[in-house]
Amino acid sequence: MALLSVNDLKVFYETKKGVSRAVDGISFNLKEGESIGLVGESGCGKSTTVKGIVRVMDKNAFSPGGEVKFSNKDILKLTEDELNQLRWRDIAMIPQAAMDSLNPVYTVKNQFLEVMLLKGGLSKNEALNKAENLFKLVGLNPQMLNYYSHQFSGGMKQRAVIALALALDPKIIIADEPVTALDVIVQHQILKEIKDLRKRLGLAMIMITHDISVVAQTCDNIAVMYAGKIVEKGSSIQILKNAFHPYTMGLENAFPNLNEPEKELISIEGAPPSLINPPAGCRFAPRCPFAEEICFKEEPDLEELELGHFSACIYHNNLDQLRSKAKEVETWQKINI
Amino acid sequence: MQNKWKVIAERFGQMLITLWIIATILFFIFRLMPGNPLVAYIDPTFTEEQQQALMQQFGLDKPLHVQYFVFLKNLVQGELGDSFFFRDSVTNVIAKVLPNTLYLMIFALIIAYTIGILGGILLAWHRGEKIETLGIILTLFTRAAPQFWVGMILLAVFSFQFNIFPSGGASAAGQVFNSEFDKLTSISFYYHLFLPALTLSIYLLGLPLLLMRSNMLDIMNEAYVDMAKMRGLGKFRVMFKYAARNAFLPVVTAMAVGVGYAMGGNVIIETVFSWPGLGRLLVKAVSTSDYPLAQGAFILIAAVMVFMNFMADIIYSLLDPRVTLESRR
Repeated sequence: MALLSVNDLKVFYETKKGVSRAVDGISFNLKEGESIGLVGESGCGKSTTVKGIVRVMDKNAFSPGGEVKFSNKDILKLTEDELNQLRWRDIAMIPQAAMDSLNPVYTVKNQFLEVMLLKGGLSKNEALNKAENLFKLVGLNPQMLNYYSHQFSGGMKQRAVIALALALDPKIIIADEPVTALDVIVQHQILKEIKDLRKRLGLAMIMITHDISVVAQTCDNIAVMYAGKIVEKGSSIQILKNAFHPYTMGLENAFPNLNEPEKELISIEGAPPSLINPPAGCRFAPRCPFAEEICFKEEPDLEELELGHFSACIYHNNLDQLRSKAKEVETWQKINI
Repeated sequence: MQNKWKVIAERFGQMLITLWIIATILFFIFRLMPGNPLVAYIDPTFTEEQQQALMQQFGLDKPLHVQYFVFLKNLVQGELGDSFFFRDSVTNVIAKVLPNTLYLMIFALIIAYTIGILGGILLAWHRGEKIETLGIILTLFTRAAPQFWVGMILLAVFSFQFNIFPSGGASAAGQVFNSEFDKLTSISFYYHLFLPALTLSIYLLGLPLLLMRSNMLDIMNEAYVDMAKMRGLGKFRVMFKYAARNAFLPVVTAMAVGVGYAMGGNVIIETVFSWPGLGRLLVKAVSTSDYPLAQGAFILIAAVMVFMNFMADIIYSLLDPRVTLESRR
């Protein structure tokens, strides 16, 4: 049974120009100890999705539909108090901007103890012990608990917020671009750290990133998001080896691949569409080199093309041909935007 | 820690230098003013000899630089000369009214900054709602209303119309306080203090309120506020410990400036309410050309402002671990 099951989740933003459909009906499951990567460009609704899951949404955001089931409770139906019970105890978060995710005027220790005493029901000594152990676990000197966040380097801060995420032994960790702000060497260390911790502690994880090589390293499953929808999902192997959706193929082109280091990086021209009046038909069609007339009219459903591997695209056959074409620079230059 | 005290001592030294510069400027301003400083003191019927004798008595026959050093020497000793009008030492005259001004200022500041900070938090938390619009209009109104007008309206309503509060002074007619302690423990004093303090705090309220609100709006977008919510810490903890605690920092600086406003505001409000304070004394000193008294009052006002800025610096460094006194030099 799934630990967390997201069904047709919608999160919209009320803006001056109209309602922006940032997350428009996405579904995925997360089993105990499993990890899923949400991949896509900036602005395609990844962060909004996780904000919708833990219900920490911006003031102008609302959720018109869907269901987020966590151990048989629908999170969307919980009261604020019930949500606060669940937050951090069951679902914790490693934030996008570790730089500014600690209160600058209190010591890191203060923030560890706060959550452990208030929500974990630990005594002060137990909490302190645990905080020190967590710091050791992520490779930080426990002495540093007494520091303020501005006294940490970027990588240390990231380790500190990872330790903080583990404070209450959550079942699920959401990692929102956990390494994006770091340099490549530290990125690698932190990813390895996250992977090891997950294995040791049996944590389930939702990893959000725009970098498909990051999920390749850390996740069992991948869901590719585009313009508020999931366009392809499946196991990491399925998706990295046999991408079905042209957008996934494009994303893979845009990041360096260890197996083909010589390969030129190809970007996808244009930007995701406005989500206030999304185009009819497939939302990726205007940027898709393989788009047919029908793509602009009808929106393809997410279909299971092989066991556990879904794609929302009209192309179901001859995908090998598509994939090899997608590797050529010329293919992506043909699109007029 | 050792270093911290050294820096504070250094700051204190800077403060003294600032005060010295202010005193120097004041000294020359009053000397450069047209007319004889003794005009107000000297009766037209005095003979030439009598006038010369007076000039000598006040040391005005000596060259300017000698006068300046005498002035500085006296200033360091707390000696500000004699008031022409009151025929008493300026120090004595000021010492009698200064506490009244400080009480008025401190009470008004406490009211204004308490309401301002809480109001700013409230308005930011209710961003986009009716209460915010209403609150902002009201605040801008209090900010724009001239103090003498607010004072007169309050007097007209609460004093003359409904007769709830006295119309002026710091004590009932005939009442004499034997000490400052007597004054502060007397209900009658607060009864007199209420309207002027209310007027001054209405005037001061806008700055902390609007500043707190806009800081809160900024801070509420910070990742650590969202993260605190994700940790399920509860609304009020997030609102105060995470958002307000950080938004509050610039308000501390504003408060030092607010003291300046309060001092300036005092001149008008003390006149409207006949409050026996430094502001009213200053008006009297200027209108009677009582140069030594005006000079002393100005120096004191400047000293209070410089001192408050010094305090704000220190308090800020205690409240924000990112700011060290050392690095702000």
